[in-house]
Amino acid sequence: MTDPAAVAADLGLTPREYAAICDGLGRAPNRVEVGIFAGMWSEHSSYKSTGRLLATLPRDGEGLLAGPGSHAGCVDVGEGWAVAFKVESHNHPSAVEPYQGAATGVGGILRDVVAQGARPCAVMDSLCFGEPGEGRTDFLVDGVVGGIAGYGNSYGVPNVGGRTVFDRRYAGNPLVNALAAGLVRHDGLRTAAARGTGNAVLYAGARTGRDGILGAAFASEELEAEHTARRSHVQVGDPFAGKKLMEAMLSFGPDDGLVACQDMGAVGITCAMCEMAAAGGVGLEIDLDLVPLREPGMDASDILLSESQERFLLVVEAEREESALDHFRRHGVHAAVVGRVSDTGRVRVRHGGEVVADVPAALVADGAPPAGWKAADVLPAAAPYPPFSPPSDLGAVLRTLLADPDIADAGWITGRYDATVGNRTVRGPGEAEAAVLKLPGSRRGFALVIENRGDACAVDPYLGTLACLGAARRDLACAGADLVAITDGINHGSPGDPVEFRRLTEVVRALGDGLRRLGIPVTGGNVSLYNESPLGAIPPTPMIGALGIVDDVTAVPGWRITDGESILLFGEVRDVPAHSRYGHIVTGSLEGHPPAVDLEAEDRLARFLLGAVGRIRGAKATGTGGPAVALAKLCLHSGVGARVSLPAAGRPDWVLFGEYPAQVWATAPPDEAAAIAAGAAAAGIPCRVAGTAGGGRLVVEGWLDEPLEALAAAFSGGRP
Amino acid sequence: MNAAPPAAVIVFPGSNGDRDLFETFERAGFAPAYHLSSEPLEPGVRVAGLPGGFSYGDYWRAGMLASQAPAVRSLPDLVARDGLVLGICNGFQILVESDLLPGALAGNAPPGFRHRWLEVETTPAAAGPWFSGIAAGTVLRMPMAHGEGRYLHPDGPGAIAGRMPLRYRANPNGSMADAAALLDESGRILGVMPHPERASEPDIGSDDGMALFRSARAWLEGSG
Amino acid sequence: MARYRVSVLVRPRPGVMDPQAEAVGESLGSLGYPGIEVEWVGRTLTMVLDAPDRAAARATADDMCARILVNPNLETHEITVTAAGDGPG
Repeated sequence: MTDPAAVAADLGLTPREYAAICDGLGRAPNRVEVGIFAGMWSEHSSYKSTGRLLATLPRDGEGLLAGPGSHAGCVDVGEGWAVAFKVESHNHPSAVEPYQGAATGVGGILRDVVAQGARPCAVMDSLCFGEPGEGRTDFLVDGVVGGIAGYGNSYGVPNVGGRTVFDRRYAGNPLVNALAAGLVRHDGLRTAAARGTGNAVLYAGARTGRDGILGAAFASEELEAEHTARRSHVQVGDPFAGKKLMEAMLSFGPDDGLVACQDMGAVGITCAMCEMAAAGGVGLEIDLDLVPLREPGMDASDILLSESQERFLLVVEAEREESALDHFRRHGVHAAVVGRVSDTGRVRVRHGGEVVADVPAALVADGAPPAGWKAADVLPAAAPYPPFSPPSDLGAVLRTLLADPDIADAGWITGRYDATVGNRTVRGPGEAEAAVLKLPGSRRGFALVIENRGDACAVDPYLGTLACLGAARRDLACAGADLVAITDGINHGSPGDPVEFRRLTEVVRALGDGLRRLGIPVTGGNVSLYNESPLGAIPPTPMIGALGIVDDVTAVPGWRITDGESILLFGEVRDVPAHSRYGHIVTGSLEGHPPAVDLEAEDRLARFLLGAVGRIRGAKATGTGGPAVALAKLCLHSGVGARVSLPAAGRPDWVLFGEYPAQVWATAPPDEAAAIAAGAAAAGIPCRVAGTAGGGRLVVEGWLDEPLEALAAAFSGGRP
Repeated sequence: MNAAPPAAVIVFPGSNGDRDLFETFERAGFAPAYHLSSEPLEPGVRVAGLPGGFSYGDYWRAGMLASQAPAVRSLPDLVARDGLVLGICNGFQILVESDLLPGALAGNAPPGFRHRWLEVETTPAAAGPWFSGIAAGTVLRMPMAHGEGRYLHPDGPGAIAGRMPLRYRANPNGSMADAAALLDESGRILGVMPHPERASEPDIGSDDGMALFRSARAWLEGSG
Repeated sequence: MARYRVSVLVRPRPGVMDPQAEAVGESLGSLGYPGIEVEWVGRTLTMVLDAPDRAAARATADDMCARILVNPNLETHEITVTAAGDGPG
């Protein structure tokens, strides 16, 4: 019954991993130690399936202050400021308990940013659900949106945008990815590396209860029906406690004796202890009897593996520990010294006067043997869209697309989120192609956007991922921002399936190729595997969180179109089938042609748009639904119509609704339009002055003539 | 030109609009300082600001726990020596919970937290320190961000006649008489549900909210 | 059929963190009521309904709880049924 090997198997450790533990320890682990390894060597914590793949990604760049492995990537944005930003996923917990799963996901990523010493200033979310009205979708959507709102609004961080996708393939396994960004002065960055024999290990935050014990292991398993009954895994978020803790942490720095800190997230105090010790090459002596507890009768494993929220672990200079405790208590936060730094390189844990665990920090934190998954040699080919004749009523197609849940007005979601707290938001949800925030006391700023294209990645994971990167570059440029770094959230099925693992390698290969071509690094991110349910695996859904720098927030284009302005269309006009929402709607196919991608064109166009900031007033990238949908949204946002003409084509439907790279609608004063178009042509970018803004209709000559009211009814009609 | 009047931004555990309010006071020519809610206000303070946020997590009843704080209990002394008080959003809830302003702020109708930019309009009751120089019928653009902003008074709209300086042009939360703000009898205590301190710069959407702050600054200057 | 008054008390499950209880307890402590610990904060819904008997009224309430009123991930509940108005109790 207490055979550690059997317990290990029960907790998800493979025989190979168990052997590696025995090897590393020089003996068999005891029951408590098995729990430690089960948590720390789970997929979610160890990246054992993806670590080697992710190491191939470009991770360096000028202006990168802290890269992968740190709590959040930090990028210089000028004037002595850095932005710390990262994405985190909370998919499985949100499927079981959507409100708290989403709330604690937001809480966790905010803590990652705070651990860097940064004050959170923005969150974004990338959500994937099943079809509206079917199964648990509406219940999950309401809970997840409620949790993100409930936590973020109370904490006081604006939600500046995101992306919500509705696709039957996520019905059994929704995706909840949260991105947080914060501002920190260059000299304010914190570290997780513990050091200084005799220094105090300080616990700060909420008391520890039985929440989410081994939640990290739960995240690493597939969701079966019985998991909806696994209630002990649900953690409860408390944004009030989180906010008090943030204020306490941000006002406690090296001058007060802070040496290192890490938030307690997945695998709770165990992860923080082992990673901090390993990062510093030191050891820790910890006494669990000193940990503030909420529940009586918790044993050592309970305390070590609890994922109670709103907790930090710190290393503080020994002489300053009393004043440190005082500092936290004055901020209304529980605090206690729970151990000391040693020089043994081992984490030794006592409980009830006895040593209950004694493990090398590096073995626990970094020693998980890479999982040797096999990748299939070939991926099944996706069937292209069967040929179909163009529909006779292109206006009806436009209205159908505008009403599509992925495209329609998301105000019913974004209206639940505070978007202006903090007085940083220059462009919020639904106002521009990316969120734009300003630096304190400056006209400089930065922009954030989220892109995910699971449906395209299902057809071709390599091209679909490149399409995300290209779109991120394009989106940021439309908001006057120059892409400088990304964080990536990988959401994928089970690596044990060779086809799924091959898809995963393709996603990472595309990230690497794309980032190298664009010359930018990935600063870190998150991997969530085993996103499968009895309904099957999710489409590969890499989520790109992209950061760009803005020189002058007062000049950035928005989704603005005013009467009399000229309307330009940048990019090649095409009329050939490509992966698109349109193709799916007409044929019903979940596969179809591969996505159209051209990273060089995206980069070239982005550079040009950035040079034209100030002359271009409105800018809207084409995306889901194609150019017609993009132009319609531009018109609907301002309540001003447009009359444009596009070149004659054999397939007007593909011209209007196909999804192609490097296409942007822009508006400019009529006397500048021709010069802008000429400048683009000289830079090798197709550009035409397509027409003029004004009136109450959207007209694409020969093809579309729709009153704005009809388009508005389709766009906004579905939800309150 | 007088020295900048000292403004206390009262910070409760869970307040999250304190920094925005501090910056806006500063931009309007005040000398702001953060003030912990556990202490009564100092005698030199000329205006106290109660910021937006979720003081005490909004637990039990929004604003209720904060209304018991020593800083709030000392507000009548500030008012007695001709000081000004501004409560924004959660701050308005706290003023109502502590009976410094009449009535109650209940859950929105339709229910739920709502954020959007909207327009409020000054009424003939917009007079006194916070509204000097602002004509009735002035439209101010500022964001709302709240879930419990439905103003009501048990004795009906008549009870607040003449004390409602701002009304919503399109009522977003079911407030009685479209009340977006309330003044006490002296006109020196102002509660506002939407956020004038977030409409403080054109870059972030509007600077219409500055009018209230500049008005208060001018009034304090005039009253020495 | 008779009229019954049914009260449903919904409260956090033992072991689940109750942020309200913690915050209110601390505040009460600092407002002159030291040494108390708030065990939980719940909410009550009271309704009248028609049912053939007490057991049926309770069963209806149980069904409401299972389907709508109670989040089993985080909450538990207690039901109280009393006779309301005329009719066999």
